[in-house]
Amino acid sequence: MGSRLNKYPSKLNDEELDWLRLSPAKRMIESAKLWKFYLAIGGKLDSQPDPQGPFNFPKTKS
Amino acid sequence: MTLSPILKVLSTFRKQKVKSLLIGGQACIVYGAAEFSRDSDFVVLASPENLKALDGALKVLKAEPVYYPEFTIPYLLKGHACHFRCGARGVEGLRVDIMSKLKGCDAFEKLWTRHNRVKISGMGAIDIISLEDLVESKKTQRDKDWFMLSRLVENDIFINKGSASPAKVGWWLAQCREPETLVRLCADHPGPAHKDVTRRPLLRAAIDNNLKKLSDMLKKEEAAERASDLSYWSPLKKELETLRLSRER
Repeated sequence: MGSRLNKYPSKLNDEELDWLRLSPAKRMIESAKLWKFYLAIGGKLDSQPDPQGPFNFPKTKS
Repeated sequence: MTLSPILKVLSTFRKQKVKSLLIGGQACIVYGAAEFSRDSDFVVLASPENLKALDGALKVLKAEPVYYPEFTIPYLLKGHACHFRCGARGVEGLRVDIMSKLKGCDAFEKLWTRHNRVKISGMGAIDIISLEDLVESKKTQRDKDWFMLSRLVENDIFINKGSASPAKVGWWLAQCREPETLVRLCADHPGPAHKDVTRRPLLRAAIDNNLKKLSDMLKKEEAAERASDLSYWSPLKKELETLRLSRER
């Protein structure tokens, strides 16, 4: 059964497969580590532009 | 443990006893998506008590409303999203988007009965929308949601290979969007596949290994969902535009 189902899925690389092997909690923690790096290199928390999103409205005047 | 901005928001919600479920990109990460999402989206119970708790959490996060509409139960129940930007230390600039109703999904109480809880060491538990409901919520008008939806289902097939319940196989047959995977699923589970053809006619093309026809039918299925999402948001967008214009006058 296991080897038969190893056909799924076909488009993932090794890194993605390693990521999938983590537990959900571990994924959350590893993702949190990325934040540290992202902020350290000057990354901002402003949301990304989303031209296809239903909330794509002009900003309100402050 | 130093908490990331997202974990700080989640921790604050937890401390303030906000009844909410993590949705959107952050929930996708929990279910195996390899992406970096810079905002946090929640579906919440729209009750006076819960909104009071949420208001407390937003105060701790120094979250200010951005855009429209106002953060009220009637707007939430209509399907609107209320948007906030945090100002507290460690979460400066982080967007928090709140909804109480998701297009195509059940009411919050039902979502809650199916939700998952993930325990984070040093922080506590995070309540997350179920994978099934998350996938449903991704049937939008956005390309990136369709890409994500497909990956979430593929990931689930990979994670649960060899140990899938009949219900899980049925869900894969109903939600899988990769033609090759669908063909393999139908070959491995011919009984359920034949049974589900009436529910999802494109499974006939998958059973017949007709990849061209299957791809065309998947595109049509997606187009119908995108159109339904546009129709769903059309009156809500109109209402928001009216609100915006009336406030700017």
